[in-house]
Amino acid sequence: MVSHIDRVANGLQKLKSMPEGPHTLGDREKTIRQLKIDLTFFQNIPPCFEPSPKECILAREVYEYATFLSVEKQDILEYEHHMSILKTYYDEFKQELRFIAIYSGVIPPSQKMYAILGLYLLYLLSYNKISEYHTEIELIPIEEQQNVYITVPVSLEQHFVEGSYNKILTQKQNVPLEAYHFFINKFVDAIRFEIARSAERAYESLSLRDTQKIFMIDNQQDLLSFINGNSGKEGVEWQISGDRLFFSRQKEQMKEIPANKMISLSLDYATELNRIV
Amino acid sequence: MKDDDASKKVEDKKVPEVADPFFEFKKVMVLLEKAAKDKDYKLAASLTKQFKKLRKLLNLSDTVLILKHYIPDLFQRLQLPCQPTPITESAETKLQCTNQRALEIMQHAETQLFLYNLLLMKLIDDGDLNNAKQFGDFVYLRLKNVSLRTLDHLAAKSLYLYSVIYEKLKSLHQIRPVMFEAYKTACLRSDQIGQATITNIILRSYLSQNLYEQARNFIVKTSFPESASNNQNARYLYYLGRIKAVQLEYSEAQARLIQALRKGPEVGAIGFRTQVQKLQIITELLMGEIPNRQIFSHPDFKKSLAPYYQVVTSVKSGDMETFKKILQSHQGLFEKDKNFTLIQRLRHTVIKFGLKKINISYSKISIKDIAQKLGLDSVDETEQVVAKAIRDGVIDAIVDHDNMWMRSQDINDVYTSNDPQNILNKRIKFCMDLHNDAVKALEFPPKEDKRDFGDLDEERSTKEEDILASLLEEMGMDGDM
Repeated sequence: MVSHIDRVANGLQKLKSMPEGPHTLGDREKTIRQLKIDLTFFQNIPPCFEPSPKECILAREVYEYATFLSVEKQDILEYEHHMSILKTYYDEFKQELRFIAIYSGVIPPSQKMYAILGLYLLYLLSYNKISEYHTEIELIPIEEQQNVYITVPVSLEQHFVEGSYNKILTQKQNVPLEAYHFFINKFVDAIRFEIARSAERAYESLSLRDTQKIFMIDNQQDLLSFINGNSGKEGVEWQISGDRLFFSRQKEQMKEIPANKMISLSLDYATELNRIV
Repeated sequence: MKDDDASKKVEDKKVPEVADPFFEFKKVMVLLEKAAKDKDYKLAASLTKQFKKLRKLLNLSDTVLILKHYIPDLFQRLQLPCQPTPITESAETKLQCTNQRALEIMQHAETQLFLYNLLLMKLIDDGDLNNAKQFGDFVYLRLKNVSLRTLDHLAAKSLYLYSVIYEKLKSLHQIRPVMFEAYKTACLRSDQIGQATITNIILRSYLSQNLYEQARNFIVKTSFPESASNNQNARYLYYLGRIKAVQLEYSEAQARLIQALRKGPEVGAIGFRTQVQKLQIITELLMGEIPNRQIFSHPDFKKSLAPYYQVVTSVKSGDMETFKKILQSHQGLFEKDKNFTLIQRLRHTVIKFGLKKINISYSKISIKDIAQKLGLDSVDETEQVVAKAIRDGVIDAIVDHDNMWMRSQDINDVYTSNDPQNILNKRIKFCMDLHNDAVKALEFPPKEDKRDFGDLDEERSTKEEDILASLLEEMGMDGDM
């Protein structure tokens, strides 16, 4: 009988030999699923008391493939799930991170680790999980932040905060991995929304041609639906007149005196004072 | 406190000079013995403060000598490389304590633990970390087996020292499981000082590895006994502030850090205060505010904050080139302070301040000129940066895309808006909080018990005086001979 280790190793070989591309997606998915079932027979992968290097390396590789596959399938839930498993393998086995002492240094760090972490950072960015993103960045040693996989999300975030959106778009063209495209595209969608919010505050009017360029929209049709979709989102109406787009901000209403707020504040002060005296 | 004062008074009256460290030690021991006998929680707690004095008075060899005299078998067992101070007279005379009496004193867990702590401290001070670690492990095991309320403060101190040793050995994360267990015990015994100390150790160990998420989860799931100790509380607030700063909640972070500075000691603890101050400067900048100039001229911080001062000036002038240069030249320092990633986030603030300045100085300016002034690469990029700044409310202006220029809007009179009221509210709130904190921090004498116990209190203090008197007599006898 073939041992489980061999079964997984063979399965992994088979997976590696498969050509990439949408036509093999189904097959690869099937292989991965089988592999994950086989992994359940492994005794010595986390959580366990005696991790075995051989099993751990195999398991890690399987999940690495699985992670990329779920990106390819654009299945975010599955991606999150695989990622959280992988993070155990990355974090707990690090030499210097010996919280679970038995795991430390059992297996060497994975070659793909930074590619996957970079992807994860990108995922956090594109889903607007900024605070998780920063927490995650702190965990990456500073000397590794020059790593090409990591610099992509890091510079994206920086451009994003500054507002240099077109730099993001140029970056869109040169990514280190195919899988990055999926999240970057998501990110670009988010950015388009951001640009729209900035534009409606910063401009009084724009010619339609410039609008198309600024929002990076390819044809007139999309542009019109984009304009309609964004009009009035944050109190600014988008109106087309002739070949120009006008942003009409509703003049802010004459401010009322915020009576209710003032009364409640004054009452608060009174109670506090009462307590002191 | 009261007991402490009483003992001090006695000491002032009868022994004008207290230079002899061994006598000082014995005095603490006798009082601690009394605390152990009476189960006097407060006295035991206040005696923990004596560490500071004794740490200065004694060196490692002295401490080893004390150990040899008071707990000879432990001295035998430890086999420390450091020899006890050579003495010409007999140990009994030098240490002003007979063998018999030493044995009697050391019967209590409190007195033993006190001596252990002292030895741990001196080992750390002396840099003998390996022995300190071994001894620390021993102390920890010893601690696990006793449960006495009078031990709470001493035990917390031991755990703290224990963590210091591990931190110096760069393996603070290793004791996390141990600390979790200790934390559990402390909670069950409602040992507040223990809880507070251990919480901080755990947080520190998380932060030493940048595990912010875990640290945050730990904080969410636990509650911190604020009344336990101001120093621990200050530390806790600092850790909290750091976590919040990393997770982008700057104003929260800011509030915590200010509190940490206020709760922390006002003199001394320069290291701690500088750390807090540094982080606070960064968060303040990240929120788009300029830190108070006074901090930088404070004699305690002047030198250590100099690089941060450069950062502040470069951010304030909106000069990206200088900012980059400073970042490069001080990178090592910032990394050591663990503020590097936070400072990197300041790029955005630099641009903001630059734009603000331009907006105020020009009523109309071409985008190209802005790009040049801010050191940005392209005009398109600059246009978007400006647009974003307008949206964020940093500047009030309009961009004309056809002519590619930015036109500033008239600046509103702030007094027509609600801002003054909001700021006033913020300040009032601050004062209220300060007042409330002050009230909480006040210590009141215990409520007078209406029931008549006779002259218990008096009796108690006379008893104490008796003890000290007899102690002095004992020593006087030795000394006179």
